[in-house]
Amino acid sequence: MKQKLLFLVVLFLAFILVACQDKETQEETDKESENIEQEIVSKDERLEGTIRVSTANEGSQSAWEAVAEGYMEINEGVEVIIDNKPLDGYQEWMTAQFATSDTPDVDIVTANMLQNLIQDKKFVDYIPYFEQENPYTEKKWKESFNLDTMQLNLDAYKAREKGLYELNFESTQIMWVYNEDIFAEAGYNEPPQTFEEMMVMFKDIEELGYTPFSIGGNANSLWSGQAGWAIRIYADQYFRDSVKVVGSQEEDFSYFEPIDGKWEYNLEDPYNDNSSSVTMNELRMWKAINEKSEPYHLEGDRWTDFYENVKQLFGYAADGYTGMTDQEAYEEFINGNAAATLGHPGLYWQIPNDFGGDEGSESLEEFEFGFYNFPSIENENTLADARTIHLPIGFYGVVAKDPEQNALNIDFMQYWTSNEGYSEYLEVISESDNMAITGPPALNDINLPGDMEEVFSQFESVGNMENLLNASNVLARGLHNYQPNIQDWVNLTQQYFNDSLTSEEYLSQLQSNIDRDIVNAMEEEGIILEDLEHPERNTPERQ
Amino acid sequence: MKHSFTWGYCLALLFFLLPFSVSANINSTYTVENTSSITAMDVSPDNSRYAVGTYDSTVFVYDNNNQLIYRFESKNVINDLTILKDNSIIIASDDRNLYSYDSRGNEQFIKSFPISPKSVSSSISGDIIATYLASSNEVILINQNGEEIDTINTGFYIEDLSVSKNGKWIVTAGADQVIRVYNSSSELQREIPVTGVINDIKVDDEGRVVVGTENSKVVGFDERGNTLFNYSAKWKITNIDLSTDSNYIAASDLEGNFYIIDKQGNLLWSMQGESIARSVAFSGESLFTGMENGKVQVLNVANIIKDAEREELVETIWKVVVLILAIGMLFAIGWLLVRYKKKLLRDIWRARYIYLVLLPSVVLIGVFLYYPAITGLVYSFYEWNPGSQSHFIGLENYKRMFQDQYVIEGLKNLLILMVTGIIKFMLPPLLVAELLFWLRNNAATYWFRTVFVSSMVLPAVANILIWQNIYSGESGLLNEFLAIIGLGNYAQAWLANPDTALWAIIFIGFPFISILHLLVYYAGLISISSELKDAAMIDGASKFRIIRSIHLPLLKGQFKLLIVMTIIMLIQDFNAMLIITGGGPGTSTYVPALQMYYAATKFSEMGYASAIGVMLFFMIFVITVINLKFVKSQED
Repeated sequence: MKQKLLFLVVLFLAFILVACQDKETQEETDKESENIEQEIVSKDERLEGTIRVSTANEGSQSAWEAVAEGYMEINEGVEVIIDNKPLDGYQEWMTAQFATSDTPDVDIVTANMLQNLIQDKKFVDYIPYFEQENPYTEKKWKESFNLDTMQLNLDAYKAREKGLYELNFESTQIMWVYNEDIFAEAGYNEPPQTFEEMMVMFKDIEELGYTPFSIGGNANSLWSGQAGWAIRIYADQYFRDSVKVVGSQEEDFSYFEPIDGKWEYNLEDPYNDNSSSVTMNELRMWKAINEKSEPYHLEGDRWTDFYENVKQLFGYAADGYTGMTDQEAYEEFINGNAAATLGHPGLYWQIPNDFGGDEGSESLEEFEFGFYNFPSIENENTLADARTIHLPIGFYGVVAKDPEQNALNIDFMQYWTSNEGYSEYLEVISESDNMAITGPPALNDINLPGDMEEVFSQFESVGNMENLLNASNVLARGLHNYQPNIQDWVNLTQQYFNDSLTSEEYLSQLQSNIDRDIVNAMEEEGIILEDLEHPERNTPERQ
Repeated sequence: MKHSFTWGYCLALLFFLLPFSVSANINSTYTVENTSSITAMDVSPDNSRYAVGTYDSTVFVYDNNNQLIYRFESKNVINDLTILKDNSIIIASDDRNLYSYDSRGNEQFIKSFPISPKSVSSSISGDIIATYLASSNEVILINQNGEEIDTINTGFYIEDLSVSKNGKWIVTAGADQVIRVYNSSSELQREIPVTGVINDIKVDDEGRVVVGTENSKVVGFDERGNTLFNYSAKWKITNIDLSTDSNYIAASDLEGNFYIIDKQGNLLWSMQGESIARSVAFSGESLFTGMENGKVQVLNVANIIKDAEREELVETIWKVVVLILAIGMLFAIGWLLVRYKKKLLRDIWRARYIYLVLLPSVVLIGVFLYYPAITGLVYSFYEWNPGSQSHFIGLENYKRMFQDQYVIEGLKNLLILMVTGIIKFMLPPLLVAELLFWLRNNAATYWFRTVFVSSMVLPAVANILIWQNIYSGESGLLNEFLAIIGLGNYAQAWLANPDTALWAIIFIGFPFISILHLLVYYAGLISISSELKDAAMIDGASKFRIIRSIHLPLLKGQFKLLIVMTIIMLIQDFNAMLIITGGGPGTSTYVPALQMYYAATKFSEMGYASAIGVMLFFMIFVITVINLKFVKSQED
């Protein structure tokens, strides 16, 4: 009887399940959303709604709050909620927001860590809005920006028909920061001019008992932090000819005659391969990696020499740097244990503040410090002098929602980039003991307070290598942005730097990992192998 | 017997009828010569010919018997095309040209632009021909000689445009998700906001607009811009078309589905194609569908709708039968319970309030714990990325897991962590519990107990961060301590050395007094009858003997519980690795749970993460069963 009863219960549940299958789900007319199609909000109308800001910059919470307050004073019907998050774990947090719902609550975010979501059009494209009037400046929004500094060629974007999903108008320049006192103790009153000189200096400093330089080299930093920067910056010296492979050719969908028609390969020009000078075709990059075309093939003297030099450099890093975060590396430097570290111009203000110590803690012993650009490796394998990561940052993305919310979010961004909004931001930063901007913002209408302008003008521009499709960016630290391959790269690099692998073994394993992962990496970006047969054609959207 | 035969016959009939209608009315199917993805299609106003544009830069023009009239090759992808009344054709290509050919395939004009024309649309007569360039605000109006006659500045980048057949209306889909409707004099008539990026737009002779969006909707608007319908498709819409009388709307989506919807938004027919559905075009009684694999199908609209209605009827009957059977089943179960389990029902009724109070907890546990767990099990067989479609891939995630060095190395590390974890979580708390138990002074016992338990307020993450500082480089507490006691030679970067990193993590929490374990042991000890202890002491047993012969045997129940809980915790825990080492250096501190976390958050591979989660579940399950089998408690 018991069995019969159980059988009936199971049968009943099975029928219920079948009956509940709603094949008509797709047919349902979404009555609720009908109400969303309403009149467009014009700039003259009173704005209403809520804007939620959660960027990966926890430290700038108070500055953002000041902007929000300024905005809410003008737009009384709008509530702006600032809830910035720490950088560590931000990618995971954002991924979770989108995993639970197609449109998360948050509106303005840091988007550069979310390339797959950008690919999936989850963010608003800024380019069309650039042509619109900014109500807070009463001119076209694009006129608020210094587009050259932002390395933003709107025409090139048009030609490529690629959206701009991250707004970058704050700038940074990655440089070496050094303790002048330790360098002087080692007998050096000037920073190094070449990489070889720097290695000699580091050796002498190490013999004095100091750590030559501190750098974050744990699993995260090695790829996306300080160590990843250093690796790519030195790789750039070797692979500047990448532009000849990935630059748009005349038949390419991305070719734009006014720019590409007059471009010439010139290693003397540090901006020769930047987007303001030439357009690039991503498919040509993938094709080169797939076909192992030079320099997109991890083999030969150039790659070996590059990695051996980088390994030599990291040999002078603080003990245990492979377990160190960028913050810990900075603390080693500020505590006077390390003679140098990597930083940005914003440290000009931050270091003196940090000498004072946190509230309730003892002050640190102060020292004289200075900055220098990456000294170049000078040998027959390099093609040009070292450049650096010198580019606009911010990576502010607006999550795509309904037209009203999009317009509201853009309105807030327009306010922030106006003199009125950004002044609120700068005022809080300039009065703060623990905040600094990393470089002059690429905004036309603003005035930098105090000595900011003068200080920033001291830093020499040596060119930018970030955001290019060069082999240095897409192969030197794992295969582009494909995380499973990057995970392997981090693992192998830590072994290589620990002398567990020879250069040949290291390069060979990296290349075989790339060969293994290239199809999946391309697929993640909506590209399939067949697309590489015709790199001149724009890739169609796929599932 | 006769009845059961009739029922069986009906059910069999229903089963066979279901799949029947899907392919019955496909008039013809063929694949374009180059088997390239179809990017655009249009049918001539007199239905005498149709044109197919492909990703492979070619346009094929066929007559209504599918015989090729001519082909044309551009230098890049065909973006769009339109056939005019005189059977001439205008083609927009990514080679930055707009081409026009007459009915015999002779060139009429080539108009070059600095940027690609993305779309072209025209009235039947060809009086109004509109195009726009990529990332442009402007609609460019040209005549049949390719001369630019006017432009309309829409004020926002255009994503697509359409001209009504009678030429009265021009509509644009803006990048700001706003439809702009213009009359034939290029005057803006209205603006209509739409939720979602617009992928395709069409307008009929009355000014009614239909759009297909990136968020899988087909939305219709009347002449005044009011929403007529909002149909949810399965995936992102790639193309739409209106029938000549505007009674039907056809759509295609990225998942490979084709749809026909009526003007109230009701689905009349749908079909899953063989690959991504790229294009649809109505032609009188027929519907042309174009796919990613170059296949074109010609379907009779009236027949497929009729079949779809029949299919729906069959489905409805099927559902009613299922419902009747289900209700019958329910009654049968009720009857059996009343007949044979009266006592059970009576007991349930008597305890109804207890069941009612329990119900919310059970429901919530089901919704928030069991449902996600079961979903995880299902998705472990899928390629599932947030925000994208998921695909069934069978056991691929499991195969990958057993080839993933981070999972394999992680399992080895986990084994070490489990062995050491069992020791460090089980023994020290037992020792402390015994010490507390044997303290003679009640006040001292209370005080020590409070001291131990109060340490629970320290968050686990804070504890990990404290230990991170202890292990950190030269200025770390451990290295400084070693230097002070003259063992400076042993100082090293504990977390950066692959040989020491895992052990450094294992030693986090020293001296390993887990409060939960301590309280469970202590509660067990004080629940042991004091008579046993007193009797043993009278017999001259030492404290050690009492522990060995009385306490340990009587604490077996606690051991059993704590071992299970400890193993579950150890398998699931990856906090220290995530916060301190990220799994490195190398693979020295990876555990499977950490790789699961990375798969879910860094790689956005939820299916793979689910597979690792399922493996961890089975590990816990098997170890728990073994533990329950071999560790016998007093009650067992």
